Amino acid sequence: MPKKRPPHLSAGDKGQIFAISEFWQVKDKKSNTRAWVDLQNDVTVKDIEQAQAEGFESVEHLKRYTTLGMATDQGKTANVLGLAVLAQATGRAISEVGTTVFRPPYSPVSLGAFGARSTGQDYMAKRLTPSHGWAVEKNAVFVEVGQWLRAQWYPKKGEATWRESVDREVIATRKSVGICDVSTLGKIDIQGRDAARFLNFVYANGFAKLAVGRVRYGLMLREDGICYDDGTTARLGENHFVMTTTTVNAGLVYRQLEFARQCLCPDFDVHLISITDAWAQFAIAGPHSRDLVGELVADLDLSNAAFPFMACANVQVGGVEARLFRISFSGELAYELAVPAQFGGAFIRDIMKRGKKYKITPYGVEALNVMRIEKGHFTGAELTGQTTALNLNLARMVSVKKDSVGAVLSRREAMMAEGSMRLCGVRPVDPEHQLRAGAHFIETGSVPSLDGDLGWVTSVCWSPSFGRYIALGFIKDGDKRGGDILHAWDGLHGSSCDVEIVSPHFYDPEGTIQNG
Amino acid sequence: MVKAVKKTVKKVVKKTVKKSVAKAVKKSVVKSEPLQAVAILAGEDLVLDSCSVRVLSMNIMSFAMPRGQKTAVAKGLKTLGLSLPTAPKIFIKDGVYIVQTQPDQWFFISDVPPKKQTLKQISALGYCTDQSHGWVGVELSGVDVLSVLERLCPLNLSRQAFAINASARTSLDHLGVLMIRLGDNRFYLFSAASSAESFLHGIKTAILAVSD
Repeated sequence: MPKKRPPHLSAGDKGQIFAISEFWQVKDKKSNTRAWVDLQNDVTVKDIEQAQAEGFESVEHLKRYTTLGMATDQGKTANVLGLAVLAQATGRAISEVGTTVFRPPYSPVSLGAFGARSTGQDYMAKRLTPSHGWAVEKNAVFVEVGQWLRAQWYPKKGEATWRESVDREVIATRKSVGICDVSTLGKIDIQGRDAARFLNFVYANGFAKLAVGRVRYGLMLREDGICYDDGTTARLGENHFVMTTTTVNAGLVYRQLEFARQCLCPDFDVHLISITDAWAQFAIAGPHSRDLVGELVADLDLSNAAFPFMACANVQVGGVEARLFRISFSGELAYELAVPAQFGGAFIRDIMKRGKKYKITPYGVEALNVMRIEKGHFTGAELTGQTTALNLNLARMVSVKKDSVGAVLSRREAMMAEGSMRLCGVRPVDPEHQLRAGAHFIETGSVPSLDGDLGWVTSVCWSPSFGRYIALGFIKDGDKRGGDILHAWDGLHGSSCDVEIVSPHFYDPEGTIQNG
Repeated sequence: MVKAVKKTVKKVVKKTVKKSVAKAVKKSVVKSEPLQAVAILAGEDLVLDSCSVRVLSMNIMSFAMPRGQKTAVAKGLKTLGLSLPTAPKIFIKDGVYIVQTQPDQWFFISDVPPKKQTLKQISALGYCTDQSHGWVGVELSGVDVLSVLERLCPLNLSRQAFAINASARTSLDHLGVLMIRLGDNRFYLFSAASSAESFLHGIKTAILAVSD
């Protein structure tokens, strides 16, 4: 074989001569099969020749016209071949064709480097509540809620199943008093001369006239009018509010508020800072919660007249600046008490000691969930990203007297239409029957099909307060169908049953316990 | 709501209330003792010749500037001997570090809690929020500091890019961090209190990997 100038050298170059010649393409004369150059971006020899024929002779043009070398390998597997084909087609050397700009990761990067140390638990940071150490001592079973570890229930000796623990926690709370670490809920400190105006804009319901020392429940809409979060906001001072969000949406709500502050209300004097980690917050719920909290804040009159449902105050607890809110997620007479986070561990030990005479019972998120279903409060299972205020029976909360984020689009015709899904309570006609979330409602006696779909079960629990399974769900026209019997079809688990439509507020629908 | 359902609900509610009321509990108030704070990561220092991480105990207060009050705030803080720096510069005086955290917000970080009177004066100028319990602070120092940080943090920490007495909000081992450089090989790092264990674990892992 004659010695030949290698193709990477141009005519004038004095380089080493090898007895090899270039061989860039296996040509198959019999069939017109395509010869691939860039396997990632599907570029063939024909594509490159076509580009050249159309005048895209510059290597930068070739790249943009054919996407040669633009995949994640940045040409590592294809560019030399592609440039050689172009060189051949244009009668040039590869060095004359030149190369394009390539970007990382061009040099070899191992997949391990992308993972870095993010293996095992390091993959995600753990967030611990202020009472975590105490909960570990108390044998709590934990559940991951985003990055948080929350106590799910606290098994006692002799309890064989989670249900035994959860049922006990619910009953104990409803009968006397229970305590739950709710520090994971997002907390946002909102201050400024326009703070009230700002809240009035980001919440669908009115906040402008919330009195100092009072808390209000608020519903938050996305720009498109769909509900995405709810929570309570307390007015601690004329220009000072503390907002709570759901645990999972804490970051999202903060981001939306920051967007509203910077872009939608740039002329407002309003300032935000997260205080989620700064405060330990505990729900203290049950008929004896007033007695117990009264011991802690002896100088505050907790009578209904002085400190009614939805009141709040700055208080002193154990020599520490604390915040007391009379709010309730369980439906009980209840308070939430916040102390600076590093006092959280000491606080729960102290209140457990004080509460002994009331048989105070710590409860986890599972019991919390049972009690909120009994009370008919919705959570993430109901806020699906498609849920309107009307679906939640809260259409009247979206104020028409003011502008707020999402208010206009929430009034679109289809979102206000008759025949919408409505949040309802349901209970199996056979009280022992276990209903499951995800079951779809159809008319009794009808064949399960999408055409006859009337909604679905969102949340289910065994209710120790009622001694039966109860559930929440969305039902088409559900507000007009109280008392009707539907079939909850659960083909997945094969556990379908007839259910009765009832109010979502199973427990204390008039609120006499909560407000008592 | 259907009447039948209403009835059962009422029954259960009544039962529950009656029981709890009937079970009259004797009131015996447990004597009030002051609550003791448990500092996060206390005693978790790692001290090596080449690099050490020490857990700090600092007071942190955020300060937000009221709209249109720039001059008044500057004037007010001047009487206290303080001023608000523009990031990445920081203000340091007598154990007080002032760091800008966003366009209209600063952190006042100090070794000791501010005096009540000082706090009152600062609060009168802008919006203050105590952040002491929301963050955990560590001091990272030693000749290997940059090797440790380059494993954890995407920031260019060369002296030209990140000077002594400069601050940055960045990420460290996937967690948000407020970083202050106090010397060639000395940094203060602040991150969220709830994930403090993961934060310190990441730093210690990097220190041990580098010191091998």
